[in-house]
Amino acid sequence: MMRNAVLFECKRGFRSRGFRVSCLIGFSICILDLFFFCKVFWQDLDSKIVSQAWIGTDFQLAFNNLYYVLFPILAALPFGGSYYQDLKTGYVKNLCIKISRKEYFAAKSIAVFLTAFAAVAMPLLFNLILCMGIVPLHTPEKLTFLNAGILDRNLFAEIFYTVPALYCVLFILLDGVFAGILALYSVCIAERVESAFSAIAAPFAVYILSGVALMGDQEGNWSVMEMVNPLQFCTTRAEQLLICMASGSAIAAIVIILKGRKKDFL
Amino acid sequence: MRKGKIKLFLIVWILLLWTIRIINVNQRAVVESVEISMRETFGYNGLSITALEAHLYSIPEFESAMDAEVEAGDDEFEIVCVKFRIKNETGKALGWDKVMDEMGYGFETLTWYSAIDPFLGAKINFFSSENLESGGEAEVWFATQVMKECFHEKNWKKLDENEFYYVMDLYPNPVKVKLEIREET
Repeated sequence: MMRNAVLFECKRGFRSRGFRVSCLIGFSICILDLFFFCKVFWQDLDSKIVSQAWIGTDFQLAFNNLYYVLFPILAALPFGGSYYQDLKTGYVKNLCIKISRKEYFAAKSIAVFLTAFAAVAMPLLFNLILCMGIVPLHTPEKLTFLNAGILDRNLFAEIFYTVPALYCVLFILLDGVFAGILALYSVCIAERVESAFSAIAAPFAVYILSGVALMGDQEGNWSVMEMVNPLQFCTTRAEQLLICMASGSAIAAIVIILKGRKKDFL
Repeated sequence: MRKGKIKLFLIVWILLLWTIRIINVNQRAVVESVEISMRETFGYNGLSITALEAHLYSIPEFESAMDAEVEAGDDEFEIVCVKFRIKNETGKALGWDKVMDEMGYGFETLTWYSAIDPFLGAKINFFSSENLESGGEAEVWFATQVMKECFHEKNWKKLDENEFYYVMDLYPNPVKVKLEIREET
C-alpha cells in the first residue's frame, strides 16, 4: 500500500504544472548562461574549459547568482504547495480513506523531496552535459582568467583540480539534497499559511534570511545559500555542511512525523 | 505507445550523438604541460633561464635570509621564493620591467595559487643598471606570500609537503618549473 501511495504522489508531483514551470525556469537560466558565455567568448572559445563555462562555476555572468537566489523557489514550486492544496480542497480526506495518515505523509515527503531534487539537479546536469560538448573537460589552470578560485580551504578543492567533472557532479547531488530538504519546509508550514504561494515562498524566505544572517567568511560558514553554490565565496567546512544537512532534515522530519501522529484529517 | 517509442528513440539518438561530440571535443583539445626541473636551463622569449634555488620561509627566516623587513600585520603567512639566473639573448637591451613581465605568472600547488608579489620582489632584488644588457645575465628573486587562510588547518601544518611550481606560461601550453623546496626548509 505504501509503495502505491509513493508512486501515486510521485506521479502527481512529476506531472504537476509546478514541476514543469520550475524546470522551464531552471533550464532557461542554464541555457541562457551557456548561450551568453559562448557569445562573449566566441573568439577564444577553444581556450576555455568546462569549469569556466558550467553555470555552477561561471562567475563571469549573472546567471549563477540568479540560479542560486531562485534555488528554493525552483525546489518548492514543483510539489511543495501540494499538501496545502490537498488540505484546502479536501483531497487529503479522500486519500486517507485508503492509506493511513503516516503513509500519506511519508509518500508526500518522498514525492516533495524527489521532485525538488530533480527540478534543481536536472538543469545543472543538462548545462554540464551541454558544456562538455562545447568546451573540453581539462583540469583548470589556476592562474588563468576565469578560474573559479577554489583554494585548499574550500570543499572538494583537490577534486576540482584533478577531476573537475566529478566536482560538478558532487555539487549537483549536494544541491539536489538541499533542494529536497528546503522543499519539505513547505509541507511543514502548510497549516500555518494562508495560500499555496506562501507555502512555496516560505523556504525562500528562510533561505534568504538565514543566508544573509549566517553568512560566513574564510573561517567557516553556516549559510545554506553559500553552501550550495559551487563557487564557494565563503569557506564551508565539511562538518558544517554535514551538520546543516543533518539538522535541516531532522527538523523537517520531526515536524512531518508529528503531523502524521495526529488522529485524522476528518 | 508508438509515439512514446519514437520519443525514446530520438532521445537515445541525441544522447549518443552528443556523447560522440563530447569525446571528439576532448580528444581534439589535448594540452600537454611542459615541466622544467631546477637547474635546467631553458629558453623563453629570448631569455635563457635557470632556476637556481627555491625556499619556503617563515617570516623570520625570510627576513634573516634576505636581510629584508616584511610587514605582516595580523596576517599569518609563509613566503615561497625562487632565484632565477636570467641571460638576455634577445640581441638588444631589455628594461627590468620588460624582463619582469616576461617572467611568468606566479606560484602554485595542487590546491593553491598566487601571483608574484612585486612588493616582496622589490625588497630583495637590487639592480645596478636600468636594463639587462644584451648578452648580460642577472640573478633575480621572485616571491609571494602563502596565506594561512587559504588552507585547511591540517594541510597548513604540512605545507612543505606540497609540490610547488613556478608557472612561466599558460598559452598555448603551460610551462612550469618544479621547485625543490623540501630539503631547504
